[in-house]
Amino acid sequence: MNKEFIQPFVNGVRNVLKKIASVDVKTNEESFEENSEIKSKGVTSIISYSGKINGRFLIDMNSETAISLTRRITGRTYDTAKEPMVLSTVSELNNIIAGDGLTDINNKFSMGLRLVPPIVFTGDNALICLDKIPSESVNINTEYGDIRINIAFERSPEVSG
Amino acid sequence: MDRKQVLIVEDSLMIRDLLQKALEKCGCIVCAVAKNGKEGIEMFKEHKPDVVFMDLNMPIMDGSDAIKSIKEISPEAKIIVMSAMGDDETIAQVEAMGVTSFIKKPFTLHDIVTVLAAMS
Repeated sequence: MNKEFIQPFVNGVRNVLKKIASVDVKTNEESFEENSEIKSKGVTSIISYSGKINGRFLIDMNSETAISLTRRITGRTYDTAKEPMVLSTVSELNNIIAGDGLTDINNKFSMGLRLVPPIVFTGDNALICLDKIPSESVNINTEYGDIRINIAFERSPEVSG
Repeated sequence: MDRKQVLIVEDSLMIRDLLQKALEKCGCIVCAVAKNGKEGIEMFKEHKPDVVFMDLNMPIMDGSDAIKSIKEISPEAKIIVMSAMGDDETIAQVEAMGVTSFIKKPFTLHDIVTVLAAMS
């Protein structure tokens, strides 16, 4: 996959977590292919986008990380990752990070990509079967735990912008 | 100064919660909250708010369709659009709807203060 379509999402995680939660992230920014199935860390949100090409963006973290980030953002405490506010926070982080990445891609390459509302689910070690389209993952570290992102495009977009 | 009556139309519980707190800190009264554009139109008719904070990407009815309906009901309605997408095309589409302002998510309390101050 064209790396120019992965970096905007890595930047999105960095920008969004810094602005919304004052959290710094660390990553080696190296992506690796993860095309068939992903074992959930505990809380996963997926959002799809379409335009000149189609694709999806996935964010995955364990329950403790989801709870800690939600507490950091909302200022309240939560007992489980299944509480509506925790699920809403992970889902909205997915939406905002994807939006940040797609904003950059659209402005650079005129892809006309648009988001649909995300879905979120919980389940330790749940097996997520992905569409058979090329996708790559990047691991991101925060003080509240690790986050995995997975970026997929139906075909590798051609850079024309 | 009169306290502005605000309607929030947003599907995310987290954003509704943060935005309501921010608006109340700014001295606004959140008169109603809706989870999608369809509910938002009903709440607008019922409460006639001074300002609407409207998300774009929502299930059932998105923000663009809700804005068109609200503008038909009240062409002078003050609508502030919130969106995770901030690309040139999105901003141009939003501006063409005649909205008052646009805020890209994520936003801070300072962003809310700024956009409300610009309306005064």
